Amino acid sequence: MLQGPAPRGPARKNKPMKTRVSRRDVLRFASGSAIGLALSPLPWKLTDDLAIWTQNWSWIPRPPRGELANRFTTCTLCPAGCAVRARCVGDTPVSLHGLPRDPLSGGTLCPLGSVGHHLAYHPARVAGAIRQLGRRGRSRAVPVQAEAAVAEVGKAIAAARARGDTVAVLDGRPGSAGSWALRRFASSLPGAVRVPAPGREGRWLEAVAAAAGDGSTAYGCDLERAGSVISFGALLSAGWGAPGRARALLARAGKGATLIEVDSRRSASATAARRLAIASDGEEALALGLAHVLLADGLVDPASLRQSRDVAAFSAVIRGFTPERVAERAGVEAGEIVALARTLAAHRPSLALGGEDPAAGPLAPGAAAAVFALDVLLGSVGGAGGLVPVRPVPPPEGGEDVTAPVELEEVADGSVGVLLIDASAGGVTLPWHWLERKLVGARAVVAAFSPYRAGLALRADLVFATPAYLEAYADAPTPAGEALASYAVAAPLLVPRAGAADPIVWLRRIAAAAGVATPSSLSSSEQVVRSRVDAIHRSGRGSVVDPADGSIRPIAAFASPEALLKALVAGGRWVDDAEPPRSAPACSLLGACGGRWRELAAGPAAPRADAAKFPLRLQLSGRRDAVASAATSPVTAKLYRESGLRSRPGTATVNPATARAAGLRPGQRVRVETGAGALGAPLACDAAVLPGVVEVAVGPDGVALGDRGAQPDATALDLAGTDGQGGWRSTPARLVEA
Amino acid sequence: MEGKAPAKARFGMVIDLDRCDGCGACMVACAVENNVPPARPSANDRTGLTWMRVHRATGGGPQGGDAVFIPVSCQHCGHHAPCVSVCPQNAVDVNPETGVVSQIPERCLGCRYCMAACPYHARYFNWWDPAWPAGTEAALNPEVSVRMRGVVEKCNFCHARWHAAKAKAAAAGKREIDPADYVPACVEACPNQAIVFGDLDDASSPAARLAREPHAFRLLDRLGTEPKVFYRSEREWVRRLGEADVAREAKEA
Repeated sequence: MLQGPAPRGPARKNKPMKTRVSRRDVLRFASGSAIGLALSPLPWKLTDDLAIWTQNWSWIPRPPRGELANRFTTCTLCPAGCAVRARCVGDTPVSLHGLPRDPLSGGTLCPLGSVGHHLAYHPARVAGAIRQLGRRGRSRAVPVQAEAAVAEVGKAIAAARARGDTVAVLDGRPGSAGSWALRRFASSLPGAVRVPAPGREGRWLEAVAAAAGDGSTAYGCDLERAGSVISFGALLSAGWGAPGRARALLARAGKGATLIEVDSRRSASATAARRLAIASDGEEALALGLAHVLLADGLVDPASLRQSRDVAAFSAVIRGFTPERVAERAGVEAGEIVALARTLAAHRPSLALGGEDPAAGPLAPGAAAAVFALDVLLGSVGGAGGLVPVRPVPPPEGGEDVTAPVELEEVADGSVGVLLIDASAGGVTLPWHWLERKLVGARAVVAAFSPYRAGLALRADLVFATPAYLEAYADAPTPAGEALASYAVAAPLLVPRAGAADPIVWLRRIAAAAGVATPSSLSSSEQVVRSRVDAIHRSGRGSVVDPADGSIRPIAAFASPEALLKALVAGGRWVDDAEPPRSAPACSLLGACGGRWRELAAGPAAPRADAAKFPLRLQLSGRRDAVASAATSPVTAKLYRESGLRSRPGTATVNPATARAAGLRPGQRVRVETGAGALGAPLACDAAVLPGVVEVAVGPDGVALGDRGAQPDATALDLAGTDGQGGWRSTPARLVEA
Repeated sequence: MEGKAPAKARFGMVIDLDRCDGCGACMVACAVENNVPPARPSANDRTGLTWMRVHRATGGGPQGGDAVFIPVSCQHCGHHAPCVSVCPQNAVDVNPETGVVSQIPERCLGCRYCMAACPYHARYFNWWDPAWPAGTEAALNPEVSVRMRGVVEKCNFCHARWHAAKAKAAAAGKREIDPADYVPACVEACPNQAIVFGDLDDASSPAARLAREPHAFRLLDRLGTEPKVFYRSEREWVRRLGEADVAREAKEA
């Protein structure tokens, strides 16, 4: 075996193995381990897990789990009645969507409709019955036994009847299933009156029906065939009537169709609709000024003149409404009035449309009559592209009015002993002081049927809980302005909250407590819907459109009313057949306004007596979806606070010039004062608001839910003075530093 | 990470400002779809959460009272998205399949560098635990999880809907989704059909066609971030707003 050479030099001594661990060794090991761990994936994995873990606390809301399914229904939050696809987990809707094949809505939902499934969980929901204590609108609520509350209202009704006081029922949604029951109730109770909500959509068309004939023929608008549409107060582009139809009109704008929206408020019109800003209450003068130009320039169709009984008298009256004079009253240049009249004459068929503002109420009767007169001169009454007769939806059995409805302005002040407010179908926008004036005083009893302690229900002595949206049967009859009658049904998707009952059920119990016999028919909303569907089936008219797939089935294809109801509950919409055209009977252009228009034509308007004290005009504002419900989802706060897209209820907005003239700055607290009251409000400036106008937004406040959220709505409406003719569109006001 | 793989699609949208009437349906539909919680009552425009925010600006017309509504969401920058490059956590990701800039809340540590870097102010920080009124949890969208306090969130072109469209395509044995199956909530909700969504690289898509129109523009185009959200207006003063800071303009107006 070969051996290598021996190592040179001194032999190395082997060190003995170190057995003791020094402090330095420990530190070395710890440092190395720390560095090694830091370089390994472990800490990152731990951090990641920690991050995920800290995002899953037990109090973080967890979305529901389960299979998703679509159910089809109809939105009944406002009179538009848009078709809805509800995406549900189990039976609970988790989102709501429009249906593009729906002929009325065109497939979209407004912001309120999109969050409708949140409303059932609103913190201001009422359970059973509550009593409100203290001054109305500033009260606190205590729960009461439902039986005791029913007995109290029944006793009050009996006492009111004994004293000869009126029992008034405010119908929040005329035409709906609930409304038919109110009619029956009011008819079965001697001395009771049904008062339709003064701000209801379609009120101008009711005036048209009265002016164009005997009131028995209802009218709608043939927007689809109109060449030009000028709307006074009805913001079509913001959803008046059925939103899908206005959208179709806007799509045609620029391709032969014209839409002009006359309004004195800040308008959010898309540019496809031309906005004509006019002075407050300038609608009447502008309509008459346009009529003057049409007559003076010979732009009136002779055939349409024959439709009127008093053309000569009307011509004589409006001779004073020259464009120059109207320009002064309406705040529009004379040349623009002439050009506008010529545009309407050139783009026939032309339709002048009067309408209601969701926040500021209906047109004054003078303005409503002036717009109708303009329609007659344009030849649009009874013709294609104009105002066309509409057959009503067949009524339910036993729902007929025995007594005619009474407008609120016709109810004598201090005459109402019991006021029942039906706010179950949606919010009722109405200045409370107008209703309060009708009460007999402190002894009057006010009861409301509402899902929420909000809006007008805050002013009631007793509130009876009703189901929220999607919790009960509801229906959507023909929206205002529709050229064909239609009917849709919303079946419940959610279980009603304990203690909530149909307003019809409450009314029957109250009637029993008052010792009044009510007929057994119309005992629930579901029964009204069934009865109406029976009537539609019997009529044999129309067809059912399925918005889910766009299919159309004639009514004859449904073997039984049950089959028809099943189709409607599944989201179908019944649409009436087109009626053959018929000419409207001869009508009066002057109507009841001859004297007023003669006075207006005589010269410039006399200055208001309170012009020095109240130099500005207060106008309430709010889109339809902002005021349609007394309560809203907190998600809508994103529109008011987090984006500033809309003014929060109770915010005063003025033109920067108005603020400067009053020595006020944006953001400052101000007091808006009118003859009806005062309101502290933050001030905002917007160049789109006309000078001399103070806009105050109304509607539920999604930012502050519950009682706090409901207060500003009531307070802002309290400022509006009523004109005694059913409107509160503008009120003399002033702004002072708070 | 951005630039690693070519995008199979380049989803984007074109918003017609002449059609928008500021109804806010897009904002609300977005919040419902993505379970964006309502902010606390003390929140304001800076601390609230709005993946889609509609700004209002005035300035046109004879008296300067002409208004325009400008919906602004994440612009989904196509080139050097500032939020991607500043995130220390890799919590911002560009999906190579869609070109969509996504936020991954589980990775986010809440440093808010991305918010500072975003020139469009389109990112929002969760200052509070998400909370809805009692019972509303049952009405939340089951396809989107709720984000925790302390993370940043923003528009992702309704990522859950893209997943649903992919699942549907896969169930039908297809690799490509049907464009009709992938429509973000804001697009679906717009009553005036002002928002058009689609693949900007697909010449046949309406969005691609509209994006090439002469009246189309992008916000802060000069920055070179190549946003995939386009706007269009026939009004020149509105187009000029594209070069301004929209949020600031709206506030100053």
